[in-house]
Amino acid sequence: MASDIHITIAPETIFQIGSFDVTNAMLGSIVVCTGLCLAGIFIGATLKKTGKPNKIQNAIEWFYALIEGTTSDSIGSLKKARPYLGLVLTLFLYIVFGSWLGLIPGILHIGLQVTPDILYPLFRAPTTDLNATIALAAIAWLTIEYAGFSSQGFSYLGKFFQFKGGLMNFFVGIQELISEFARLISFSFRLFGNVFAGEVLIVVVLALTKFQTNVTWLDYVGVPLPAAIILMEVLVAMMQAYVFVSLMSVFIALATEPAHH
Amino acid sequence: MTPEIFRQLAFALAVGLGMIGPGIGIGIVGGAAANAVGRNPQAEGKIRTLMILGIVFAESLAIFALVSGFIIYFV
Repeated sequence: MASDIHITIAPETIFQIGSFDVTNAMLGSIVVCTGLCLAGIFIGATLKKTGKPNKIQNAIEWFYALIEGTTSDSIGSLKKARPYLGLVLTLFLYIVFGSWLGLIPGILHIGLQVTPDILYPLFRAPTTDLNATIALAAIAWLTIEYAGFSSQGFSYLGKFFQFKGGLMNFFVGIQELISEFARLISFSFRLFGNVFAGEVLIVVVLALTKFQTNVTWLDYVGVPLPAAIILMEVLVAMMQAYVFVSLMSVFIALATEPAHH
Repeated sequence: MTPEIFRQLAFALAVGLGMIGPGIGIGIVGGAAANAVGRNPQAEGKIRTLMILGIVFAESLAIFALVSGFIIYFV
């Protein structure tokens, strides 16, 4: 039974351009980015500045107010939060739609038939690829460091290497440095683990209704069964995106506050 | 006892034992948040934010255990 399920942590290569492997998570990422850009262009053209907003504009304004409120509450004031707002909104949208891509019913069944048993999906949610989540974590981490350096200059390093105050403060500084780097791992693995585990859960529940011998249309009767799990994963994706963004804001706030001595 | 059996056992143990700590931790955070809102209902928004933050940190440890299990089983 376990051999029927094709689950890999690393995304599968669909084709190669020269010696560069293009994986299905990359294709999924291209779909998400293209979709977001097109949505931005078309919805942006219909936005009204005065008068009663229509439903889509209402939803977008509510979402924008939510993220702006979270970020400016964490960082302190809207003025200080403004440089980071664009990045924060984009990361949220990429994470949410990147995770939702894998939840569209049937999308994991479109793919290349590599052998009679194994199907490589053509599109895979980019947040289920550890490469993508490490990249997002690196972007967030670099933004936090940039916030620290741009607000305090090189005295930002004084938080990690504290030579005054005795030996205890020195070790506190070293521990702060280690936890600074641990944020890379925690950001990336939290997002990857949540979304990947959700996809694995859906695939396993789908496989529970599979017939062992010839694949017929009856195989697809079980597709609505993980509906509750897919709904849970929709909520989990939104929560994980919100958590990523609010954690990033909190760390930016911690990096920009001057050292307390 | 083939390696396949050990793999499955290791996966189950990693995930099962790794969920005990975060489960207790999340319960403690949730209870503290409920207590705090009971004492001071006006600060509910701020307390909810802190609670979500605390839960997320605890949950990420559970996710580390789960991912370790996946790596044991599939890699």
